[in-house]
Amino acid sequence: MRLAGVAIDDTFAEAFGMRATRLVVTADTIRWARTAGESMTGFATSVIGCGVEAAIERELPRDDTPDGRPGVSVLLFAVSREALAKAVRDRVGQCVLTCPGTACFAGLAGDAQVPLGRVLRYFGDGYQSAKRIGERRYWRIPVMDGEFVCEDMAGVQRAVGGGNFLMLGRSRAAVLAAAERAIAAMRQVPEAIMPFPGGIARSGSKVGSRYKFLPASTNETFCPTLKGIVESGLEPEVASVLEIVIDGLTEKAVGAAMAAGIRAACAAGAEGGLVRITAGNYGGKLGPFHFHLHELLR
Amino acid sequence: MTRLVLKAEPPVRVALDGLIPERLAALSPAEIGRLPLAVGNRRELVGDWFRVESGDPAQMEIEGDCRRLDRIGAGMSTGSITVTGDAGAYLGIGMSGGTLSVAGAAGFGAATELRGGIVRIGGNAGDALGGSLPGAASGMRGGTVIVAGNAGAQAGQRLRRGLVVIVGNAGAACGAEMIAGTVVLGGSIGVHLGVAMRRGSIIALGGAARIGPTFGDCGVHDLLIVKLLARHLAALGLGALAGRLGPLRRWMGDAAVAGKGELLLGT
Repeated sequence: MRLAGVAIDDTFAEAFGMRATRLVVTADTIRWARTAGESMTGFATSVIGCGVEAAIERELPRDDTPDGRPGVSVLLFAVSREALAKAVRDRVGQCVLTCPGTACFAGLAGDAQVPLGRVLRYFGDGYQSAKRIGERRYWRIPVMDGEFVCEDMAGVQRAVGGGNFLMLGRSRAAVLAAAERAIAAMRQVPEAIMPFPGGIARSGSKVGSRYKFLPASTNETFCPTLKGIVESGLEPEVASVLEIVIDGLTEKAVGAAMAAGIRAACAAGAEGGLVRITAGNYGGKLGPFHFHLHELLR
Repeated sequence: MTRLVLKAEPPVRVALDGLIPERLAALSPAEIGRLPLAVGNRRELVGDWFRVESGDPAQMEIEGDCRRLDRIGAGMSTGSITVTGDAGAYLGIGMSGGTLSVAGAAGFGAATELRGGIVRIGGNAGDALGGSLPGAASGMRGGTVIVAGNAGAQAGQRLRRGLVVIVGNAGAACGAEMIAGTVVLGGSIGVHLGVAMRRGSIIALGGAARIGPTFGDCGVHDLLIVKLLARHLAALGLGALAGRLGPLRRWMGDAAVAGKGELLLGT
C-alpha cells in the first residue's frame, strides 16, 4: 500500500490495556492553566521510566469548564489504578496545587476512582473544608493566594496505551517535518494523547538489553547509524526514523489518532522525503489491541 | 398526573403521610380513596376529603386550600408532587428524592430532615426550615430546598448536608448548630446567625443584623467555590440570585465550638 507515494507496511501496532483518568485544570488565564498542565505532565513519557504517561489533551474554553474559567484537560495513563492514584497525588500536589490561581476537577465519571482532593486536603493542616455542590464534592484548601479548589475524587476507566507508528525518511529534517504535521493533526483527535516530547519519540526501544539493570534499550534495527553492522530494518536511503506513541481512552480514539497522523505525515508525499511508514509490535503475543495500518487507512 | 382535589378546608389539621407517588402508583382512584387519613385525632378516609382523579402515578397534584394539610410529601423518594396553594407544617419531612413544589407558602418545619430531592416553595416558609426534630443529632442531610420568599427563625438548624436557598430574608438563629452544608440568602439575616455552627457556609447577600463575637473577620474575598455555587444556582433556575454572587466578606466561626464554619456576607 502507498499513500502519496509513501510505502505503508502491511503490519500492525500492538497496544496494551491501561487505566486512565482525565483531569480538568483551570486558572485565571489560559496561560496559567497551560503552565499547570505542562508542569504536571512533565517527565511522563513512558510508564517504564516515569510510572505514568500523560499529556494535555486539549485546551478548554470558559464554557467547557466547571468554574467558567479557561482550562486544559489532561489525560494520565498508568498500568494500574494504584499507580495512577500515586501519579495523580504527586503531580497534582506538586504541580497544580502550587500553581497560582488554579483549580482541579475530575474530567471522567465512573465507579472506579482515584483520590484527588481527598488526599491533597491534608496540606490544609486542619483549615481545609469540603463543600458539596450538586452531585460533586470539592475540597477547599487555603493557600497564599486564596483557596485551592479540588474535586474529591477523579473517575478512572480502562484505556489503551502504546499505539504507535514509525516514520522513515531520507533526512532528519524531512522526517521531523512529517512528524510535526502528524502531531498537529493528531491533537485534533479527542480522547488521545501523544506523551513523548512534543508528541514525538526518537528513541524507539526494544525489550531488554545486554545489561542486567536495563529493562529496555535502543532498537538498533531502526538506528540508521548502525545499519551496516546490524540486521537493519532500514532501506539504504533511510537516514532518520521517528516514532509517535499514542495512548487513548478507547481503542477507537487510538485508531483515529493513528490514521490522522499517518495521513498528515504523508501529506507532502514521497517528494517530501518520507520513504515508509511502519509500526511496532511484539508479534501480537503481548498486547490485546492490534492496529493494522492498512485497515486504519482504508 | 394523579390529582387529589380537596373538597373543603378541614376544620383541624390533617396529616398526609403515605400520599406519595411511590405508594399510590399501583392503586386505582377508588383504592386511594379508601386509604386512611389522620384528621385531627380521628381516623378517616382519603375519599372523605379528596376527590381523586387518576393519571400518571409518578406525578401528583394536590389542589385546594392546603394550609391545614401537614406532612405533604413526607418520606417521598421519587416522582413529583405539586401543591397549587399553600402547604401546612412539615412539608417534605424525611424526603429522600423527587420534586416537591408548593405554589404558595409553607408552614413550620418545611424540609425537616430532608435527605434528598428538591423542595420548592413559591412563597414564604415558616420557622425551622430544613431543620431537625427535637433531640435529633442533625437536620437536613442532603437535597435542596428553595424558598422564593422569606423564611422564619432557625432556618437550617443543625444542617448536616445539602443546600438551603432563601431568596428573601431569614429570621433569627439561621444556621444555628450547623454541622455542614450550605445556606444561601438573597436578603438579610437575623440575629444569632450561625450560633454554635461547627462547619458549613451561610451566605447572606443582604448582610447580617449582628455578628457574634465568636466569629473572626477574614476579609473580603472573591472565592472560586462561590462561583461554582453560582453556576449550580443558575442551573436550578436561580439565575438572578446567582448573578449577585461575587466578592463577599468572610467570617469564620463559631469559635465557641469547632470554629470551621463560615459566614459570607454581602459587602
